[in-house]
Amino acid sequence: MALNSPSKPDSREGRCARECIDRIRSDASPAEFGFKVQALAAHVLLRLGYQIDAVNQSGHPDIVATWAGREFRFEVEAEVGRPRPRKLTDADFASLIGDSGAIGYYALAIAFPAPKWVLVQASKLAGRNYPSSNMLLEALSDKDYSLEWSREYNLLLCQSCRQIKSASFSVLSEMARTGRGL
Amino acid sequence: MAKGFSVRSVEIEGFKGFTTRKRIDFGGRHVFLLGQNGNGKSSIIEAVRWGLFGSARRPNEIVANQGYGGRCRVDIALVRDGVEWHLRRTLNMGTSGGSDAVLTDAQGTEQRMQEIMPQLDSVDAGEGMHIIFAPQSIPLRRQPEDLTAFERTVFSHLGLTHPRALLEYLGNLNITQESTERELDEQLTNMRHEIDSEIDDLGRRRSSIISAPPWSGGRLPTRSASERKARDLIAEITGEQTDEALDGLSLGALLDNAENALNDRHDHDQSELEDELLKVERRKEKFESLNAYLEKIDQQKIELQHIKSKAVEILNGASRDDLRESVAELRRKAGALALRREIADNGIQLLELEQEEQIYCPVCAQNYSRHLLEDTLHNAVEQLPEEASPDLEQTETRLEQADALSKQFHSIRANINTLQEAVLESKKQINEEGDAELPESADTETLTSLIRHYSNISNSIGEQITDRETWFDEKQARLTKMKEEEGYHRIQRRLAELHQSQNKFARVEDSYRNLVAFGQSVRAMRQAVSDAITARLKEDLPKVSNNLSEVFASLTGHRWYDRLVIPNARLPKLELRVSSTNDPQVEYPTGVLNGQAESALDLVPYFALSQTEDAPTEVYLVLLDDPTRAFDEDHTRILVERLSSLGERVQLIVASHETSRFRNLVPKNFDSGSYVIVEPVNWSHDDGPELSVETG
Repeated sequence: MALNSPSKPDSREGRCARECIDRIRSDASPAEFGFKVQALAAHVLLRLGYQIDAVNQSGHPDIVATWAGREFRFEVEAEVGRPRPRKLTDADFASLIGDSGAIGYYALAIAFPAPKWVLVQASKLAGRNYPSSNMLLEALSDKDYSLEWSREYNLLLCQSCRQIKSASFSVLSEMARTGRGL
Repeated sequence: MAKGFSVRSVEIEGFKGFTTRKRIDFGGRHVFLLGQNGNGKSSIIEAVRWGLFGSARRPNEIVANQGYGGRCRVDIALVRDGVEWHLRRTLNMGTSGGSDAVLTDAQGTEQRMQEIMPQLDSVDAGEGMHIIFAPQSIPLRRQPEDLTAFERTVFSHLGLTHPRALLEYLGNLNITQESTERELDEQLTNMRHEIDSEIDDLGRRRSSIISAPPWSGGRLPTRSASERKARDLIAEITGEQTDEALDGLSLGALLDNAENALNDRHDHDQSELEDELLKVERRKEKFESLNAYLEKIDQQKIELQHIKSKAVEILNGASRDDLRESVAELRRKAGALALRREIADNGIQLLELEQEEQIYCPVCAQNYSRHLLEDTLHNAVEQLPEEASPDLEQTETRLEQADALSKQFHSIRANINTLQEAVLESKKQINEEGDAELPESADTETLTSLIRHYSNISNSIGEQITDRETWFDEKQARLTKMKEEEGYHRIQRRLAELHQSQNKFARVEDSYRNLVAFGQSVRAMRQAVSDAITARLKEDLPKVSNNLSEVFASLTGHRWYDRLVIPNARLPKLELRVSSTNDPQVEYPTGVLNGQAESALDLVPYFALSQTEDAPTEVYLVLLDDPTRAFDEDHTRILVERLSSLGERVQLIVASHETSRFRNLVPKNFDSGSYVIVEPVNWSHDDGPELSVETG
């Protein structure tokens, strides 16, 4: 898949994605917003050709997906306010780096200045016993993969904002799980 | 004997208990330093170690004799293949604890340590199986690194000293890198957020300005165009062409100039007009006041005339004195009449009191009939008028009215006089303040005309003030818009700066990513080195454990704990544990051993692992400081026997306070002439230890 550069905050796409995410966020509590972003992550995966096996509202991991016969696991977090240092819990790690052979990713959704995703392989965070800020997460991230996610995410927000805004977490998750895109 | 260097002699000055320079000749033989503790045995071992490696037993240990005025230095004479070398180490002045070592050859020519003794140069004092120090005081024991002496010995034996050092180095590098990474991480994240937030905020403000622009026309103004407009505004405000002083000023400064000029102009123009208006109004007020006096005087005069007419009417040709006299006469008559009535009434009352018909009159000296008197009195009363004369009342009223009019007349006259004085004063003031003299004959008509004239002037000034206010408001509105326009330029400039910062920040981000990537690489390297060391240890440790166990068993003769093992669980960290062939599955910490066995444990690695052919360093030397702590006679014998076989390949320098045991055992186990016994026999503050050296 050819990679495009991420949407700049002042680009048309960046602006409309940002407006959409601002609207979603203003209508939801931080927890609701987090769940909605988790469901959107599942839809991003769907657009990238993954099959969504599970979107868990509680427990770990947050999303289980399959691509080319390989299992991928994701812990999703959405940045709501100012950037703050984040640390994967032992439970997060256990669900991402198990002995299942699955590939685990920590996925952070950033809303400002333009919506984007930072995807870090969980193995790269192992052994770091202190919280990591965005700069470190970005430095450790899988750049190409993060770009793919960000591009699809922006398109998703621009194309289906109204639908995303009105649909609940369970509706969005069920749609992704059953392969119905937005 | 080893093919490396051996120590021929050592010369010590100002080191520990040593003061003046003392030379101890070993002749390349084994050395047994015997005697009571505190006599300087350890100082000699320490001096040799410090001379060779430059480090003391403990970090920050003070090696210089504090009571000695000279330098602290150690000169070790080393011999190899019959050629003598000198390694001279001198403590640096100051408190750093550092020292300088100079290696000279047989000709006294300085040689590089790295070339002649590369291994010795690179080895730390505590490292290597060939150097063992058994500290006399356990509480003072402190390792310079995170490795135990035992681990250092094993790694050295397996040739893993450098990989292990590399592992440690990479670990430290990781710690440093992570610390820097953590320090920068949040800082850079926040910095970028600040830049992004400011750009976002400024972008919104710029959009807001552009959506309702303060400038006319749809095109965005350039800064120079805005500056031009600001200059034009200044010219309009000042009414002059802008001068050179404004050249080079920023837009903000130009607008400050414009604002100052506008405020100055406003203050100047308005105060001038307001002063003028005040002056006119005050003059007008004077005229109005004067006019009011004159009008009041006229009114009072009319009133006076009216009073006069009324008085003429009331007096009716008489004077007030005539009236006063008439009143008096009428009052007198009325009084007489009233008296007569009173007399008659009293007479009637008296007669009513009398019972006699005849009443004697003492004045007349005759009697009168009571009835006759009564009738007479009643007739008299009936003939008297019922009321006082009406003339009296009328006359009294006229007099009162005349008096009142007279009073009023005088009061008005006084008022007129007062007003006339006020008129004179007012005219005087007007003439003093005015440009032209007010005519003496100025009447209300003249004054009314003047008042109208000044009213017209006042109105005209008022209009001028209003015009200036309108002018000022218009300029102020333009200035406000220009300021908004300047705000737009400021935002543009700041945005340009921020975008530049973003570009610069991108380079910082790249550097930071490199730092993180470097850390990841170090982590991976460390893991690879650790894996390689672990793999090697797993392969070699069984043999090492067997060697250790064999020596341990022979040195201790322990009936139960006869095995030493290094478990794989914590590799590459080495942990020595004890076990028993009777129950090999269970491993115990070394703390279960008794004192002698635990002391022997310090020596085990050396004996077990020193069976190699090659010397680990160029100076193949064993330094043992009090190795028989907690040893009984039997174990001391075993140790000396072991040392004897060891002494076939290395030079020994052994210190012990067990003088008699060693004096007994050494000759039995070492060839005559292969050793010297050094015994400190005395010690003085000025000269340090006095030594006796005897060749065995």
